Amino acid sequence: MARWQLVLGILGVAISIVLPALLGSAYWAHNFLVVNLFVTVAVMQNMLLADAGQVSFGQGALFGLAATTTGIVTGLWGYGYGAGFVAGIAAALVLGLLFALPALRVQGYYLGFVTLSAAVVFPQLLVAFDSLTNGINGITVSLPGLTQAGRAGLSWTSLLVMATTIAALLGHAALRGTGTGRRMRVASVSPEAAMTLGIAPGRLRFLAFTLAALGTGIAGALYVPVLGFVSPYAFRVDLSIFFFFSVIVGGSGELAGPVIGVWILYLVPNAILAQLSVYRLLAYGMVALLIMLAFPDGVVGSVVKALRRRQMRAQIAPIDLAAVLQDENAQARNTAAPTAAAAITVQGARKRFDRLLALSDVDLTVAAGRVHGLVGPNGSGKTTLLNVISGLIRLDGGEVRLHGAVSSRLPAHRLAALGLGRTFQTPRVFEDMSIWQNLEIGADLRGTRNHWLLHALQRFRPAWTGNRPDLLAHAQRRVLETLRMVATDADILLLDEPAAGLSAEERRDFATLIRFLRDRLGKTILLVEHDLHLVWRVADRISVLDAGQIVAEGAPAEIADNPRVRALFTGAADAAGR
Amino acid sequence: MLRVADLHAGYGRVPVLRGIDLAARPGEILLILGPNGAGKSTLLRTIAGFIRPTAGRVELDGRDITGTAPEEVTRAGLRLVLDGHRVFPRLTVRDNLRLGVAFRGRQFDFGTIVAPVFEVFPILRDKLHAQARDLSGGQQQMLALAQAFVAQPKVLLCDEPSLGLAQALIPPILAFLRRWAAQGTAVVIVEQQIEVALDIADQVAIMERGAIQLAGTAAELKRDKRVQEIYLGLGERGEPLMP
Repeated sequence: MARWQLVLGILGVAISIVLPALLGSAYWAHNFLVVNLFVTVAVMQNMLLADAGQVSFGQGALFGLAATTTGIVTGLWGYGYGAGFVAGIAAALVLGLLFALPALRVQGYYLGFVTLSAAVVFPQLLVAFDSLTNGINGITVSLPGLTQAGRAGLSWTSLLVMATTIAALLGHAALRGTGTGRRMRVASVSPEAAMTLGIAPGRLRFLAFTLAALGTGIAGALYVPVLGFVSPYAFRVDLSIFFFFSVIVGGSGELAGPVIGVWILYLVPNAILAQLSVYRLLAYGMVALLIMLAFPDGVVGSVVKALRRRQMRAQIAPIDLAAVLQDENAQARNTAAPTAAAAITVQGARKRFDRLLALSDVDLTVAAGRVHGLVGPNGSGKTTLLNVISGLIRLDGGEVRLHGAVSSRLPAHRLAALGLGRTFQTPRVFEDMSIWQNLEIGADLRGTRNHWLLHALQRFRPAWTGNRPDLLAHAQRRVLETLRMVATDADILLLDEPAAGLSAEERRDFATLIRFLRDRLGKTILLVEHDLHLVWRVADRISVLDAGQIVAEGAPAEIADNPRVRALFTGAADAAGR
Repeated sequence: MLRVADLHAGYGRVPVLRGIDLAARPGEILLILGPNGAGKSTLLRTIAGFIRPTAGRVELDGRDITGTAPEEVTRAGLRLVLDGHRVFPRLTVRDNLRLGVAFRGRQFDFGTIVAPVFEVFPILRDKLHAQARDLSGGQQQMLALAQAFVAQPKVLLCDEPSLGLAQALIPPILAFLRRWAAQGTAVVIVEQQIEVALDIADQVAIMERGAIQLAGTAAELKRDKRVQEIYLGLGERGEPLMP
């Protein structure tokens, strides 16, 4: 699926540069050089938006900064183009890192506004610092060595632009094949799930902004020989919006999307409707609007979706639990015996949200290799406690130990390395990866794909590689998420309401899976569940939480007979005094 | 009367309701009980048209209203009072009540329509010109019910009327619902706590995991041990109690 897009994109880039040169059309040759520079920036924006999940409305400022810096160094200070080129990229990298800083704190449209403000301010700054930038007069740079047409009408500049754009496309495709690229996508879809898989989302955002700044910087530096003139008017805020729109119009996340997006959004208003130049902005808006109405997933995205719909129908192999449960190689991770009999120890945990005391002095000990049920009414603090143990929430007081080592001061992504895994109330399944990749990302954490689980399911691999998880029913997604956690080899598993949305039969199967995890794989399981039915059947021990306090703890039979617990769940009168 | 047959519904791809059958007759109170997460609120929202069912049928007085938009369902004579006493906070008590009547279309005399409400909840008359947000939680619940009452629906669905209210406020609200039903309205109440509304109900259905596990008259189920067992997930349909 991805390969034909890559081939199409590269062919588009190469032909758009070579053909006008061969035909000797200076007008089209020039137009397409600009188009391909923009494609490079849009590819970076595509990576940033679709793979890393970062909304930036400021990529035009990066581009402009690189171009202006190159212009200043080469055209005003008189250094060689090589020096200007390097300086331009360096400047873009610095601004890119500045963009990455707010991304550590804010996301989505808030991040968009921060970057947008940079794009708004940037051209004004160029004018304000006119002693440095020549202000509105701009900078003329003459680089005849680079721009003169050579063999087949191609100049060095056109070759550089072509190489850069193709490299950007190849680089984007290559990134997706790497573990880092996969982690980037996971962190973008669900930062929480990523952390529980041992991934630090902040680091990946930094990387994405740096890569994007690098590619955008190179394109910006090449803008100088292509145009021969740099002025603040070229880098107004519409340029940043243009890059963002190009990605959307082409199809966010599609490899060839930026090529198609830039062609449509740049060429239609600027070249084909050039006689309407007064109405350029209007034409540009109309084109974007019409395309979005006709192709809600972008041009390439809509085509891909239609193709996929036709292809898939055919084979969707459901996840067969029996294949896992009966696998002879199913085994625990070969680590030294746990240092303490208690896998999880919570001591004096306190957490307050504004006026609500979510946890008040909670003590909890979960024995290694056991299933421990955690039950309680709505709002009793179960999920808060789970989030505390998995490091997603910081405690106000008290501490958590995993296998005897204090874990409550470590960031969530570090806990995965200590053997902690968790599932979420709504299964965190990564939609834009195949079903198989969803499993593999778990094994990725250990640095090797050689896992008994992947071997046990090998025969499903062909069917699962081509299919996306959106075909799976809810119960199957639940199992997929749980198996992914098994593939990480985590030995302490936190399950957050796994039975929600499962039918009676599916719950029975899930109970079998839980027992398998405990008995065959020696996992420690903390099970938060509303479905008491399931808890009685699989838990070795149960803690009852009410209003942030543990009110009862014991074996299932004891808990089921405890009048206070009965009252708590049935709302009988004697619970009213709590 | 309201009739629901083999209703299936859920959120996105997560199924919640798995084949619900029930009937609410004019003049009767049907109490739907069930532990947290049983699907009670989802059931009311699906009947009222906020969630499109994946299968099954909802009928109001013989008319099929399955998958009809909420505003259409309301016009057909069904009213849903959501939990957490939802009123329009910036409107006065009077305007909140007038909004309730707005759908009736015909000319109406405000005084006549709200008289029975003021009789039961005199506090609403005293605060007629106060903004709804200045009312206490219990008063807002009264207002929410009153707003539904003046619309004179054929069927009233009421999601946890006791939620968040002080114990003392619950009996008058339940008594109001009882009187209302006696006028020929079919009333469906959802509660999580077993005992709160058992005394005023005629029929009771116990929901668990998206299905009705037990149903009968209030008198029958009052002494039935199985109700608690279902709440506690202890055995039903012949399954063993413990592993």
